[in-house]
Amino acid sequence: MDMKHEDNTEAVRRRTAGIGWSRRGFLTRVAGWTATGAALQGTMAWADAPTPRTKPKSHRRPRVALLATEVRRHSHAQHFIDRLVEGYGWEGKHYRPGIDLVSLYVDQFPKGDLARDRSRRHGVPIYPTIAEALTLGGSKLAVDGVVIIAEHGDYPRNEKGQTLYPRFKFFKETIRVFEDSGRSVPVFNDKHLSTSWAECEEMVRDSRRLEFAFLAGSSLPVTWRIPSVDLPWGMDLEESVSICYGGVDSYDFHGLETAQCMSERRGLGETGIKSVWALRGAKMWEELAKRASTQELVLAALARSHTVRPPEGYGYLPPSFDSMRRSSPDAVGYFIEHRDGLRTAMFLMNGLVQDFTYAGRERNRGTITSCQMHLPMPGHIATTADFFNPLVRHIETTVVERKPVYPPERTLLTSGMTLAAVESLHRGQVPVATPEMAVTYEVGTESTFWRA
Amino acid sequence: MIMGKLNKLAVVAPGLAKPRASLALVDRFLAGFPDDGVIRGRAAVGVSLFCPGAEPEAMARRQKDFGLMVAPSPEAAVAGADGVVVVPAEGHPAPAPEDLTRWLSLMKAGGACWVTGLLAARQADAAAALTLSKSLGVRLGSGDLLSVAFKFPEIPRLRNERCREALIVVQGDDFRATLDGLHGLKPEADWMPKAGVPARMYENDAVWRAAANGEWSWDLLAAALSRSNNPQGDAVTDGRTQDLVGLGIVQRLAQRPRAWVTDHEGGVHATILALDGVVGDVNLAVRDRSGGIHSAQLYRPPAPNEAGFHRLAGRVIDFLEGGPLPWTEVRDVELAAWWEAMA
Repeated sequence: MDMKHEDNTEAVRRRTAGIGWSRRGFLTRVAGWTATGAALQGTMAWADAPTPRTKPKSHRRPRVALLATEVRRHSHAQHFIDRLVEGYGWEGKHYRPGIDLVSLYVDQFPKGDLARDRSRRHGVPIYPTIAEALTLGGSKLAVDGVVIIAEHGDYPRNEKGQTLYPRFKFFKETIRVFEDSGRSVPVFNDKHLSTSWAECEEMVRDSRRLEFAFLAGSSLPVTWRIPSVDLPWGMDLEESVSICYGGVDSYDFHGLETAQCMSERRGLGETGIKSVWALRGAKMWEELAKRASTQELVLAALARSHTVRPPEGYGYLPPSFDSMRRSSPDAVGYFIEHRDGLRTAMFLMNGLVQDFTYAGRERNRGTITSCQMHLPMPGHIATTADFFNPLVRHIETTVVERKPVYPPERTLLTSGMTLAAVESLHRGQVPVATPEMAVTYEVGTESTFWRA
Repeated sequence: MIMGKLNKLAVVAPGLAKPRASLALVDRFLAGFPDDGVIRGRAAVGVSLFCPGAEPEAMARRQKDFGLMVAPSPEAAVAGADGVVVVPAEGHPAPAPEDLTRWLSLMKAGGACWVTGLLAARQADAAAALTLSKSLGVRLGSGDLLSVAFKFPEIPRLRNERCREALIVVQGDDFRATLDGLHGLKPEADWMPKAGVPARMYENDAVWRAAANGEWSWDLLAAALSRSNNPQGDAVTDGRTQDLVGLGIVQRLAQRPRAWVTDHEGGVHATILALDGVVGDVNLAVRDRSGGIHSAQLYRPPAPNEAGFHRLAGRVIDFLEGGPLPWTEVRDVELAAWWEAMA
């Protein structure tokens, strides 16, 4: 049987019917997951999923626990905690979330720690263990949501250059509490899932097994866009390009989320990743020179940048291939093949830009859609990192409605692409086949980025 | 990249102050720039500049790199141009009326002139400039960076019949604050200040008393500030998000607060609030006739690109090439009247 054909027919039928992504309408298929090395061929339709075990017990405000690596000025955890306890600007008001932060677990207390200040100021206790934070010192799960912010902090790096943030550890200790308590609650995981595919996959599988809403990822897909555009849902997308700055196993994830939140809206939804090839410096520029269509999208994305490094004596001049190469000789590029033929290229162009831009080309007419994912960075053009506002709002929605605003498969794949790119660089800049990433999913028609 | 349609484009920037805006526009006219995701090419076959404030080295660089024609006088720059851009001298909201008259008179019939500021500092002068330009067959328009700024979020323009009250938060000295306030608020509406009614200016504690007396509204300020991503105070110290209005922080942070309140024909009540020390960006809120509040940040992209000039240059060239103004011509007269009311 031609599984692909069958999948296509199903997806076309659903799209023709105009079904958006909702509890009844969202279909996520997990194919080729390798729990024990053997492929798990399967399809999970949320419409058919069992009712979650956890039912709302009352009309009281939902309570959440936040697990952080460290809380200091401009660490991710500070941004999340402050928005949960102080509120944030939302739809023309200072919005106070409808959920209460009731407990903290903090792994490290560096110089400049703000965790104790926030705990004292807002009466949110810091517990010595994750289990106690989730049970509020008791024996059973006592919160309605868990927010895992394991970004920043002093953690070792492995031989591949990956920072070993304890996201998986925090997550699994959370799972242990769920299992011990016989119930589960929604979980948010900031940034990529973990530093190995098996762990990333296990996290998503745990969320299915224990039937809780799992939201994850970066603020890039949900922040303001300049201009305020999304790809038409179901469009025939040929190639996606995102350009950003920063490091490998760091901002590359944001760049991949920038591209993926657009690419996933194409034709039949995401079909999975076939291979990832990461190149650096001269090798990258040589490869890009061979790819005329990618170059065109690079320039289209840069046309949305507000931070293109100008030549001496000028405030701005349009970039060219040569000027890009001069400004960012050590640029890193990830060239990604999707299983349906879509190509994604993500570039870390340090020295050239300091923002996040996207361009995608429609297959038949060649129409290019481009935008900037606006990230007003503290210390640069802002004092607060308000691109976290929509992410915190989506966390609240996920906790209250007990379903993720967008599927965790997006972050599973962007985590996987990050991992494969790190592996590609580690192996000497060779292409890495990714048969394990045959993960398919669809998103709904509704856009989830900041527009109001 | 597509070359512009103009034969000669002149930029006239009198005065000796640092010519940031002039060079920002000239560079885009010479070398092209991105506009709505597409790189536009050079705007004209010849680009001339009269800018005595510019560094000789900067001029020489542009002569060498892009063939900039450096004009010895405004008249030489403008002569034969089918498109002219006037950048008022630093510290002036508009070109001197006699200068604008002279330059318009030197232009070819069928040409167009854009003033990056106010058309004039007085209503009568703005109206006279428009009358003259029509008699000469020259199209005339004006607008500055904040007039065409990206807004977070994009909100509908509220014309007179739909708008009841408006407020914008700005920073800087009186000149900069009021000019930014006008350019920021004006695209939102079509309002003529009431004839003969001057603006009411409040300073320091009188600003808060004016709010208590109904001169401006705290709920509009709260809506505007909710759009800021540059709050000052604790946010600078430790990144904290705070309800600046709800917690009474605004009054504590504000350094020499000032408010300019004007009444407009049709009943619109407008306030420009200079709140140095409270936020570092420009935010506005408008109340419609049914009581709904619309608010947005007017985004000013950072140096050195100052990408706001991409948008401004795009609208300027569209207009110079024969396209429509982004707003009604009456707006230019209303802005002059508003400035005059605040003088």
